[in-house]
Amino acid sequence: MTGGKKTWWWQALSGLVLVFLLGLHLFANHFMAGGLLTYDDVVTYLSNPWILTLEVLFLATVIYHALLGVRALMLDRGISGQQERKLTRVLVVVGVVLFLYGIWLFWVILT
Amino acid sequence: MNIEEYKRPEPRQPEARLSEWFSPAKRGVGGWAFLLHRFTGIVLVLYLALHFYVLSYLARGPEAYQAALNFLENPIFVALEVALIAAVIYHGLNGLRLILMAYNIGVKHQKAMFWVVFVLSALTTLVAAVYML
Repeated sequence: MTGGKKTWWWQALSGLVLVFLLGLHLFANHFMAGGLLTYDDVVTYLSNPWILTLEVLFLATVIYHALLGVRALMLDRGISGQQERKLTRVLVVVGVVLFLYGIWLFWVILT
Repeated sequence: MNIEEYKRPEPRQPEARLSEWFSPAKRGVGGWAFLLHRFTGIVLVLYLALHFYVLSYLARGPEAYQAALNFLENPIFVALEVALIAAVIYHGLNGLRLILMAYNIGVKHQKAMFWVVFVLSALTTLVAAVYML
């Protein structure tokens, strides 16, 4: 499998996972127990370990899928191999920072 | 022509120019599906950034978060949320269509599948709009 095909496959797989995780995220956020309408609702919601696991998985998958999408967009503009490697490095850093931000936010809410 | 003189044309970079990304010229149904997929993808990335920002109010305490939620109850934001739902549903359903086509499932019916995706997205958005507005 070439690099591009492999990336496409990961994009497709993460997209497929997102269909389920985003569905659950939206359902849990808006329909479980009347939806998350206050700060306390959010705390109660995230105190459920199953929900927290789901949200962490969702956080990682959505960041990965979004940044792969941004990368595909940039590659379609026709950039050199060197620029592509640089772009990938930047996006990895952005992805890790966003994930850590999300985890920090969960931690602040729950403590 | 001397074969030495003949230069193969450079392979065209697909959609290399930003203006081409959103050009409606010479697009079939598949091209429109791609255009919408790309457009909704960009919208969703921008929304994700905004969503991360809004959620940062959770770290500032209950009052700050409630103030942010109250601000977002503005009808303009609610209307934008309906548009967001349209983008999410279309991007997700068309993504599934793309995966099916990559595995050679229903390639002959790709145009019909686009219309199924489009109509389902429109109907879901309509239901969400009625529920939210």
